[in-house]
Amino acid sequence: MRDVTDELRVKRLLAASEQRFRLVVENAQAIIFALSPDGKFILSEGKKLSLLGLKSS
Amino acid sequence: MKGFKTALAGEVYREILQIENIYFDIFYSPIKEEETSKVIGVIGMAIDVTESEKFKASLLELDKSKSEFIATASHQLRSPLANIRWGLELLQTDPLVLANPELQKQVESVHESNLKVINLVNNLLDTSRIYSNKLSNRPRKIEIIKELKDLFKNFEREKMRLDLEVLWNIPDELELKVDQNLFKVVLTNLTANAFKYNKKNGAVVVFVKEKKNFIEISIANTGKSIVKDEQAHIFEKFYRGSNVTMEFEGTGLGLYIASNYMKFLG
Repeated sequence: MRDVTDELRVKRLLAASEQRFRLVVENAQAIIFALSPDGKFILSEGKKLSLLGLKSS
Repeated sequence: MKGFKTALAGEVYREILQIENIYFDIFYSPIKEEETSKVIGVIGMAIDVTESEKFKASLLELDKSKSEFIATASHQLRSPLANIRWGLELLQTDPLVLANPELQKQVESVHESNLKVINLVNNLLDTSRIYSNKLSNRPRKIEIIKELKDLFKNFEREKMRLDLEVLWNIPDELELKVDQNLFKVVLTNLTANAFKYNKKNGAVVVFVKEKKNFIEISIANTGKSIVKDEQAHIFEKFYRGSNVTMEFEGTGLGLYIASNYMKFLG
């Protein structure tokens, strides 16, 4: 048997933190994007993506 | 593309980008690895600024129409005003007027008002040329001293009004390669100020000296000086000193025109 209390707590915290950032990014009245050094889109989020007929990736 | 490259090089970049009918204000910033500070990607945010960009465009359009209106109106006003001036100057020499001191005074007063309007219209025209980038620079050799002496002849009336003395500290001759029309406007506006903002029995001091790479020309006077804190603003459009009283009519355009013309002349 192994005590996983701490492990679970960290997982819950991480999930909550991710949820919070996702909420901000997805609901921003803007387009938020990230590009890799070779110029590929690795993220595009935000309500205003719809202006370009796009959906979040 | 430039935004991406700039951010990849570690700098923040901002641009307005039009995609179809939508304008975006886009910020690019580098994503840096915490420990090494190496750029491992670019993060960006685009904000829809279509409304404000359209508003800006309509303001620029309005501004352009305004400038065109001023240019056309002032241009159209010039010839009738010149006609009136010519007629008034003819009247001033008419025996009937000369024989009637009251009439002479009236004609003189109308003539003076006419000159003021001509000056104002010229200022407006000069300003609209700055606005619409319609200045042309055709440098040719001119004799500055002769130019200045001729110019000062136009200020005899102002000179007499305040009993001013003109002091010349100048060489006999000095040539300069410059656009004569623009340079004349600059000198006229400076000279007009030196005469206008002067005091009774004061002086206008003209100083011209050839330096190593340039020619120094100074037209100074003995009037009230410009408040120190305000000196930085004197070349701004419509700016007038706070110690300028009602008796000095003016538009606040003279030095604005002079400094813009000098910038244009390089």
